[in-house]
Amino acid sequence: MPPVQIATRRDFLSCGLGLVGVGAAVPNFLIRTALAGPKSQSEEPILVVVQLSGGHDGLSAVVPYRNDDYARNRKQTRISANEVLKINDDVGLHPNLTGFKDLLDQDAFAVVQGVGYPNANRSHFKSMDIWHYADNSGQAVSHGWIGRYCDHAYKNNLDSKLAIAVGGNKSPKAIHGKEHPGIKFQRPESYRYLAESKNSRLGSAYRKLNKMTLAEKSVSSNLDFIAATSVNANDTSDEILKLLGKRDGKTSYPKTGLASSLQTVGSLIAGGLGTRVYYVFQGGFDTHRTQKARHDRLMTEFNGAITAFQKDLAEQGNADRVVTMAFSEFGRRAKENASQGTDHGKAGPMFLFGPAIKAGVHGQLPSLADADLDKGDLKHTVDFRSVYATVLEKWLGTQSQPILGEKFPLVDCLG
Amino acid sequence: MMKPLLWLATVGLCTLLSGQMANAEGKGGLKPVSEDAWDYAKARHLLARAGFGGTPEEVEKLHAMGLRKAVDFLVDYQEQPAADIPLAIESPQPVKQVKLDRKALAKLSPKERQKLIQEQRKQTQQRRKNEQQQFAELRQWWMKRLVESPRPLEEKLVLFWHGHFATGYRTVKDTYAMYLQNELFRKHAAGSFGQLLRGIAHDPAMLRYLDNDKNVKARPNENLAREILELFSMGEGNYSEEDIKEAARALTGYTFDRRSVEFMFRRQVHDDGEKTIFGKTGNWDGDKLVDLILEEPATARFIARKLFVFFVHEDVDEQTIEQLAGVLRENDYELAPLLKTMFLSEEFNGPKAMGTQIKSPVQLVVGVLRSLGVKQANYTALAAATQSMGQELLQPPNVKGWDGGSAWINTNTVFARHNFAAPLVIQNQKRGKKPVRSRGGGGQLTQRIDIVGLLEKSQSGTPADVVDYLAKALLVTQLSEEKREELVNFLNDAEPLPPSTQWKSQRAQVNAKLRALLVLMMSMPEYQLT
Repeated sequence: MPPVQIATRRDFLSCGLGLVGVGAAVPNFLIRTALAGPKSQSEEPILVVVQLSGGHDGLSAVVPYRNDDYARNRKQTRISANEVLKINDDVGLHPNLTGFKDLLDQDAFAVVQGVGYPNANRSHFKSMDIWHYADNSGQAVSHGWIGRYCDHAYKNNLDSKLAIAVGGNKSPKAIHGKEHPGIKFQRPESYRYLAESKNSRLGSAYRKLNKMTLAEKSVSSNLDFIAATSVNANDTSDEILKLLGKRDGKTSYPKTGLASSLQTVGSLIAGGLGTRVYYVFQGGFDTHRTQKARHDRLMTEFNGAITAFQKDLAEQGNADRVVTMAFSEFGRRAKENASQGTDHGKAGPMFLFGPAIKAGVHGQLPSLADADLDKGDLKHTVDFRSVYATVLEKWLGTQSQPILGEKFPLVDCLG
Repeated sequence: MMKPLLWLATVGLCTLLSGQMANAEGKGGLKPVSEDAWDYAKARHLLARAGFGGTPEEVEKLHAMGLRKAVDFLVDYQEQPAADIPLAIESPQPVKQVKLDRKALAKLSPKERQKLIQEQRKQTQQRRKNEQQQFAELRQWWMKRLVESPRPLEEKLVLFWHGHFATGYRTVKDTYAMYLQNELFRKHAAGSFGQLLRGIAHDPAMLRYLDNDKNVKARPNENLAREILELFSMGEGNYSEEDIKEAARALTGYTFDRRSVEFMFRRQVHDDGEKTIFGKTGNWDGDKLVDLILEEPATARFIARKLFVFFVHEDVDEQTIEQLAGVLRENDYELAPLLKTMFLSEEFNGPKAMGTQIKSPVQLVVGVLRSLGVKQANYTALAAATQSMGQELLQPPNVKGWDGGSAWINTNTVFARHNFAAPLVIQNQKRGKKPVRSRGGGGQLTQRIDIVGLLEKSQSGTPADVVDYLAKALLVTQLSEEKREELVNFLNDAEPLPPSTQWKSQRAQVNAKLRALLVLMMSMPEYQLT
């Protein structure tokens, strides 16, 4: 029997108990919800996407410590067998990922090995676009995969808060849908119109003028876009700031960029915002030179932020509701360069966190033997869109094909 | 004025004669707009795009010159005096450090050793502090140039090349190297792209930023080679991965001397074997690589497209690009003829371009100063303001530079843009108290704007006059009646504006009221466009 596809939670609930029998395709959480009757939107499952920008050297995070080809290709950047935190007889985690190891022991951490896509592009920008659009050319579609998810699953709910990006320089293309532009803010304290609180007349004229543009005949598409974004920002800032101001989280987070973004996300989840996908960033992975020391620091930041976030979620009783997924635009070349660094490569691992995932190592590490490499790079064994499809179907509870354009085989890492 | 048919004939004739001759006149590639169509709006548009805008009086001056003279005035900027703005940075930063010799240390007593180590630590801290101050100095120096230079297009082009050959200070960590690069952009801003590209292959900041100082024969580092082809000259899809590998070999040994911050060719680590790049085989080095790149037709197209998108609009057709690339090639990559043909063109002066571009943060911030004729702002604060809007000068997000266009706008940056001016209002409410700390820096800026003084020149008296004057100075699109009325009401509400005869005697209060209007207008969607 093929898995039953559910477009939205509402569709699902309207089907009633009849669906429970096909539980395999449905997150346990949704089944519990269905059995318990309709609840507020703020109890739906949440996806947090962590973007590791710059091209992460996955071989230094999930280390094939017994692999001779690894040892041969990596003289300077190598992490030895006695350093790694062993997952199994083949791979071990970077020594600074102690929190990930603890999560693994609690069945809340998974790796998907060898993730990439056909005809890999070694340009940061093209490859990042490909991941954001979930499109192999990076050009054929004009909306991000998360934005398309919102458009598809929330046709009648145009709440722009369904997808929120926190931190980072730019608003990620992934969250921009046709009907759901998404929200982006860097620091909560500046996510408001400052003059308003001191001069309410100015504040109301400001809001009114921005809204008037939307009502008037279109002069240029850029003007409409700016006005719509302004109105969106003003409509959402009140609610978001209220939630963040209220929060008195117990968990202490490290003082890093990623941790501070995740802390904000933790507070918004605690506050019950109806957001389905949060998007955060960690940069600095483009380690062309002196990689070891830099990558060690990156792993410390990654580990500290995720560990604190998972602890926060557990303390608020929301851990079961959240799956966190980390990716990078590409892995790095099998052989290190002369600068004790590594150049742009192809396949790399993805990471999943949360009690809802199937813990352990999924997929397959590509062979590092010279003959098996693709111009010196790891060949992918799992298409990243398979991971997206799995998350969409098994976690967010929607069909993946209308969003991704094709049917991709699922990875057995969820549900 | 030329009739279309005559124009076609002229183009044909010019092509037969000499591309050079035609292009020196600023024609050639694109059909120029008719001199008759030249009006105030087009003059304002030209000053906004080929610079950062100006006061209504400055626009009038440009308008009075006529189309061709106005374009020449802006493009042939060498005829204007250069900005005379001193920069106080050490050149280069002296590298002084007490080397701690292990043997010598061993001879010292623990106390002496401790003292020496402490001293060294202090020196390192001091050096870091100096370097930070120097960097702040450099950034505010450039910001001041952007606002004050009598050659606005020169600075606009430096900004363009900085975004094109994007190099980030946080990796380079050397203010002097960043300064040299900034001056390299200025030297060739409207000059030769070929020389600029050659300069970049020799530029210490770039060589450091893209790791070419580590690119050696034994194992080449591809970082610079890849970005030169992908982002700086040809664009993705116009070369092969093999070309990148070979280009990296050609660039081996291209590095710089850390002490003098000068280019250095280290022959002993250069790979002098044969390389095949774009199907051409030879013992190529970095300079020859630049020549090979300039021979590729993709290069002129890539640069022409990028300039057009930056200066005109994003929805460009292939034929236009082809024409502009032709102008570039015929003029041996000299940029001025391309700029002239572009600014004179119907495309540039048409509805698709005029008033449709989303201002970059630098355009926004520099633009308000130039369009209101304000000088002597707090330039450090202004640099911080553009940063909060997503454009940190000398620190682009990555080697691709800023995406521009609609990427400037998201829910985060609209607030940063609107809040740029907001501190003014907050400070007014807290007169006598310590000013509210603001990342935006607009407070310091707008505090200095004497709107009463500005309006005296324009003889505006009624609230409607005030709104009209500021709309003319600040907004590129015609305001709807409803919005104009809303703004006039804003001035009339609560405490009405006193008659203009009383403005001088009540300067502070009137300015405060008018500044609130200014803040409001700067937070309108229209203000984000140019």
